[in-house]
Amino acid sequence: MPGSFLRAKAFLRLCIVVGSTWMLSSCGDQPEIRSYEIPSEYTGPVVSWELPEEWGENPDLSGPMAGSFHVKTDLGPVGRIGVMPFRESVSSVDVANMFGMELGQATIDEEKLKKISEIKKIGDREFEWIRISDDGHEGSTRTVLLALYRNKGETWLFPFIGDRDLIREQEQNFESFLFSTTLRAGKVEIRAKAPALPPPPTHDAHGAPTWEIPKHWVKTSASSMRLASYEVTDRNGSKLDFSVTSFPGDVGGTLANVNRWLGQIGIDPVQEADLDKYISPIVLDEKDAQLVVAEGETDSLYAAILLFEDRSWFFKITGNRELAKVEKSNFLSFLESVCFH
Amino acid sequence: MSKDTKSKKRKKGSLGERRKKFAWLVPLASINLTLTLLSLSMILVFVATLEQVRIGIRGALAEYFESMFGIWYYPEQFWGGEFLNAIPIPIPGGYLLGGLLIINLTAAYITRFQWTGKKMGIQLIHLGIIMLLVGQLATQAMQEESRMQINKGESSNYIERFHGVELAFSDVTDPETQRVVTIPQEIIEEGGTIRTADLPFKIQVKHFGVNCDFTVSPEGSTPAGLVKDVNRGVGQTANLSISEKEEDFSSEGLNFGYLIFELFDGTNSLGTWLTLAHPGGNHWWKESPKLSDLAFQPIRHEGKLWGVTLRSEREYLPYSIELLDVENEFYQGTEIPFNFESDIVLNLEGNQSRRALVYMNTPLRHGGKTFYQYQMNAAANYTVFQVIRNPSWLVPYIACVLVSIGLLWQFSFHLIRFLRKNSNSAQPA
Amino acid sequence: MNEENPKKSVKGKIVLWALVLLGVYFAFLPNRFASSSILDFAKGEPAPPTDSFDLEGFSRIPVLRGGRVKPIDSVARNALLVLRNKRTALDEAGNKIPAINWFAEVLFNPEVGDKLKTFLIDHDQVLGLLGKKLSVDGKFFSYQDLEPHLSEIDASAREAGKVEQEKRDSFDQNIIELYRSALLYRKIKATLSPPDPQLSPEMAEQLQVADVLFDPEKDKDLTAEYVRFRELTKELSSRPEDIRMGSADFAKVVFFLDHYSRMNIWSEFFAIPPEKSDPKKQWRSIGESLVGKEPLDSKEKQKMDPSRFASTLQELVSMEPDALAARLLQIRENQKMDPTVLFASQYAEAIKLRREVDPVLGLYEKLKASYQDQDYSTFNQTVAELRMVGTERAGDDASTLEFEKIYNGFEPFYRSSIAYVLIFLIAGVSWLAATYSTTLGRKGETARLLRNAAYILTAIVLLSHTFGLAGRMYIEGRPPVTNLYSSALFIGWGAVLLCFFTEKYLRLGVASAMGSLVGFGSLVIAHNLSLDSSLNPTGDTMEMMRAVLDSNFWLATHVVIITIGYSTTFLAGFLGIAYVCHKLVLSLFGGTTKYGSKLMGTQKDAQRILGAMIYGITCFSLFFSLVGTVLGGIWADQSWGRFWGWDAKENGALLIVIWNAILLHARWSGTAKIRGISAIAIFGNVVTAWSWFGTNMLGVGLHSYGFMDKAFNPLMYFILSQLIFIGIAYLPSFKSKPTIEASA
Repeated sequence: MPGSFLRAKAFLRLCIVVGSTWMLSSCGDQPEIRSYEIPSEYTGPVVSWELPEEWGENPDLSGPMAGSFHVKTDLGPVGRIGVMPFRESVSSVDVANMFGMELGQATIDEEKLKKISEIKKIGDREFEWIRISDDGHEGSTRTVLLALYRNKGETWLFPFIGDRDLIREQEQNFESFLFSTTLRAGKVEIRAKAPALPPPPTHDAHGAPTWEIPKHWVKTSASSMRLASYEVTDRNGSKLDFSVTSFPGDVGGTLANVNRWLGQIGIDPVQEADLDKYISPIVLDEKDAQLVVAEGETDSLYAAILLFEDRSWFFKITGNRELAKVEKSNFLSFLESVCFH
Repeated sequence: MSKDTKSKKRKKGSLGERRKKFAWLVPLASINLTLTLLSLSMILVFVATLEQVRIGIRGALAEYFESMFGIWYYPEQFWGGEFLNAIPIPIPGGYLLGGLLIINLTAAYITRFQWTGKKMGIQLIHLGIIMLLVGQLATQAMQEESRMQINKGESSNYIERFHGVELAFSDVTDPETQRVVTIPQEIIEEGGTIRTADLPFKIQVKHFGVNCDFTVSPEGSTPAGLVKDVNRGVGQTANLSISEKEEDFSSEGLNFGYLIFELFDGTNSLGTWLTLAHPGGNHWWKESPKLSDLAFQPIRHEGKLWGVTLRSEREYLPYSIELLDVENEFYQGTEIPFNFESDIVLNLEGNQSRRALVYMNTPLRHGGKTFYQYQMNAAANYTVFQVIRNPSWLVPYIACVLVSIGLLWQFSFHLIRFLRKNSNSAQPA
Repeated sequence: MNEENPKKSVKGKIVLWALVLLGVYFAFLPNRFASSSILDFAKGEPAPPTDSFDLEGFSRIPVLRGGRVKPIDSVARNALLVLRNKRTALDEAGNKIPAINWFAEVLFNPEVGDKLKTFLIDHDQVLGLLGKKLSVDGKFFSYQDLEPHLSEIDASAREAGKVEQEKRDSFDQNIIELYRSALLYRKIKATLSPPDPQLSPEMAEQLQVADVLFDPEKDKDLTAEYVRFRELTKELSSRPEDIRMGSADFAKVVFFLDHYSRMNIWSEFFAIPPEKSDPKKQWRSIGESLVGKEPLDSKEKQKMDPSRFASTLQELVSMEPDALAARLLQIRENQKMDPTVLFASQYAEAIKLRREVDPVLGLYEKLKASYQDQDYSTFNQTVAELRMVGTERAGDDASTLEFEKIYNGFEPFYRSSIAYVLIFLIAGVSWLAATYSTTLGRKGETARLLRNAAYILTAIVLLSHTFGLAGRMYIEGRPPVTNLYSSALFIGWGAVLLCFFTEKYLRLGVASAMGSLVGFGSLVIAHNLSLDSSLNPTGDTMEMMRAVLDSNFWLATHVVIITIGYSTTFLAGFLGIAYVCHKLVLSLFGGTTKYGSKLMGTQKDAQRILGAMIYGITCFSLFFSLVGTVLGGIWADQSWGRFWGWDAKENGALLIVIWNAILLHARWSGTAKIRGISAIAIFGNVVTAWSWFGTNMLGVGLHSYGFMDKAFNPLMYFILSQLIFIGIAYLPSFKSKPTIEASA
């Protein structure tokens, strides 16, 4: 009897072992990474590229855009490069007008288009190269460079929007970017209606501050980086340019920013230790900020730098030295009116 | 007559022999063990049924039926629940009881059952019961439940599991074929960094959960919590924020699985993405304009366009089903449906096809899978099939036949004896 | 007691036949419990009277409610069942009024109908809301009593409706029920008397609809308005260019179309039989007959684009009728999400395709007018016409109508339940007689007589119970068990049938008594289920089957077999109770009376027989519950693709199977003797009750214990009572009694 009991125990153990192995093996399509091919179900456009070192990707891809980039600078992201696929062929005139209008251009006709466009061969592809500059606003250096590529009834548009100098500087990168692209239009039709460009990444309606502006400051159009832009002109035609800009991060730090501005009004860069010469602490909407006051030989610069919620806010007035002196009090009272909600 | 007794003797002898040979099985064949196991099964089934209210059928399955032991807490809503709720009560699980019952029955089969015509019924019944138990264990382990949704006029060639997600990368650069690399939930759950030769980058799992609440936060608010590192894709553009949530086991529970992961090319980070799986299938994301990209978030790498999405585990079929029409009829003047029907075409390989109607109690069977009418929306023109693959489906049928024959045999035997006895002794009324 | 044998047997025979006749009287013959008898099925319909309304004929007019064509009689009875939990109404003096008379008043003579006591309100707080007291005003109220409080009822019900179903208290539930009742009543009232458009004369003037609108002074009845509306649409369809915004005629047509469409909401049953050409056999309400059915909820009309609506409608109406019909089908198929086009399609159908006023509308108008004028001959003649037209147009659907009407009045289950009480009494008396004669040491002729009477009566009641089930099957065209209500009927029937056979062989009165107890209990449960508005919102226990369950094969096999399994398990349990009672009686009297020893002498026999019966019946239960469960598995595999899904209902059936297996194995192994077996069998009652009702309660809302359910408390009391029986079985005195007896 004890023998049989032991045997029973052994049998039970065997059963458990066999049972559990069976259970494990049967439960077990072991989870594994699988790789397989299926007929393509993807209907969107296929675009890929190699991004130049100095470029970064914009996060807010939307609408008809297949890609959206900026140029990385010390100042933060500048410029805007896009990739827009059209399922059908679009006339160059329409495209040019779409962007021209934004720059305040009068209607661009065939005639005018010819003047501003050329054919550029990159790799073995031919691009239509259209350059539109801002005629609407005096002194504005905003420029749009459009590269159009047509293939079997599809149209690919690569707009590059930015400062004239920036575009000139980045044209090489732009070309090598275009060279690197792989392009295939989607199976689903995208209507070629003028797509309004999405707002620039820096523009942030929510959480933007408000302020009061002296009545004689004239509003000029805000650009991709400018939240607000004003101009003051006196009888002699001297000008002051006022802007509010905002960037994510600290944009290289106070020293870099101040030195850049000093350069713009012809003052030599300073060292960290000498920074105190130009800046002093102020309070902006109950937050600690820095006031920059720099007077050059002809031009002056007054600015406030505020680092708030991981963003840099610049309130800057720059231009004719005499006029700046007159407007200094206005600027300071403006600063007092700034209010973050 | 004498021959009969002889054979009986021989058989009795063989039972005795068996008992001797397998003497060590005798304790396992005890009928008291059977009674104990059956009583415990009563408790198990009852408790698991009650628990379905709390954790749903799937939860109860996992906790009680597909386990060795389950822990039960007396429900708080019941009388005295405040006090009794705190006590954990161990409940023997389905695998334990099922396994022991199989052993018990088998042992009884060998050592106790007489293999004679008279007892044939009993043997058949118990053989059938063993088969039912084994079949159920096998089913529990092997059965797969999926769904297939088709819009009217469209066709579908894949099915999706009801539970379990996978991270799918699709290389769509080629216009004809699409390369898909899928990483199953089990591997994602292990966390860490996932490398595979099929992908040109490696995936670092940051957070994974089977269910979450998600909200589209107002623009400009700074991401915090789980999503604070997300810098690419919809998670960033739609300002999605996520809060972890327990898995909902109930039958109508919706579980939005989520995964936050970072991609690396070598040591170079490509960015951090957030993906969400839609419990009804990722095509539902396309209905919501802000989140439509969750079905396909582009990743560009080395001249190729990859799309990434977290989706219900998917299986592609070598055939496709096209939905021609759906019909949903109600009894007049009531909200009681009397018919759900999908009119479909099954497109096989090699350009063969056949028409079929799928409706209640009439599924489509093809290629080892069965397609049942599951849900339907006649107004929105789509149908959902429940797709089941159960290789052991035949076992219960055979078992049923065995049990039925055995029961009939045994009870007709008893009944005849009873009637005979009574007709001899019954007096007229 | 000293009479001679032959005389005694003659006397005995008289008693026997008297009892049997009493049973037949309860089960089949005309009596005060039911309004029709078995004779009515044979007799056919009486000739219509000339000096009163032919309500008998009126009650046989076919209508459609709850998806099923039925006689008006059924609609009236079911409505009252919902409103008052009875099949009759009360007049102001408190006299009972048959359902059909009540219905006629409500439909045709609402001033009188509103005064009849129709509503059951017995919740004190709800009564308080109406300013009534249960002790003073009773619990039955007329619509007139409710009318001043309708807005309060509405508001309170709305509040209660916001509470989650599981969290509603008794006031919430009662006020919601009252709200539904009031709504049902108003819909019934409006079904044949469409509500007035509520148009002031100025508005009518402005809309220029006065010349079409019903004018009580000039017009005989509403049909005049319908005819004028038809003329208007005919005219408009000949001038489709007038279908545009700003056209006066178009505005008029739209006004009436809207008005008639609104009437559809206020219609409780469909009175207009299918049109002859209609392949779908669509029954219609008055509004639908005039302008068709609204394709969407009328709220969706706000989402329409008016100018596109007009242009689409114009385009549709300009089409040829055949082309239009095809186009309309296409629209309903392909443009389901576009309210503008969908409503245009309804309007186009109403304008162009529905060209005649259905004569049935006129007939119902005539019926109403003649009822109000007490014009018997016109009423009776119109009833005959309506029945003819209705039966003809309904076709096969109306074939069971006559039967259903008489069946309604026959009340087979009410009759049976009374007869079951009689059987139980007779069987009980037979035991007393047997005990009495045993103590005197006699043969017990009276007891035998009574047992035979109970046996024959069981056969008779079984016939009436079977007739009730068969009648339902005939009317529904379905196997016997289709819902919870019919499962109760069937469980009782199965148990009684089995008892009848058991009694055939073991004439002890035990099977008869227990069978009648289970039969009576199940019929009482069935009656209460028919009153539960959550299970049975229309009051009709013969509701339509959901698509999933719509399989006569599986209903006939799986459902029937598993229900037999339930009923036999209950029976075994009640036999266990019989054992406990027997023992209790013995232990109470066995030791004390001087005849105790003689009584105790019967103990062994009784134990052996009861034990054998429990065993035999449990074998049946195991067989039926196992086969039924397995068949259920196969059905599930066929329709859902899984043999077993551990669903609450499936688990319930499994519990019964396991429990029966435990009982049998315990007996085979000798682990349990008669007492243990009885206890196990009694607990089987608990298991079965749980599977039958408990799992349904879990199913009410899977998110919480839906134990607010009405059946919950009865279920708990039942379980408690069974546990008490088990407790009694194990009272220690049981064991010691025989030894005391022996020593004495």
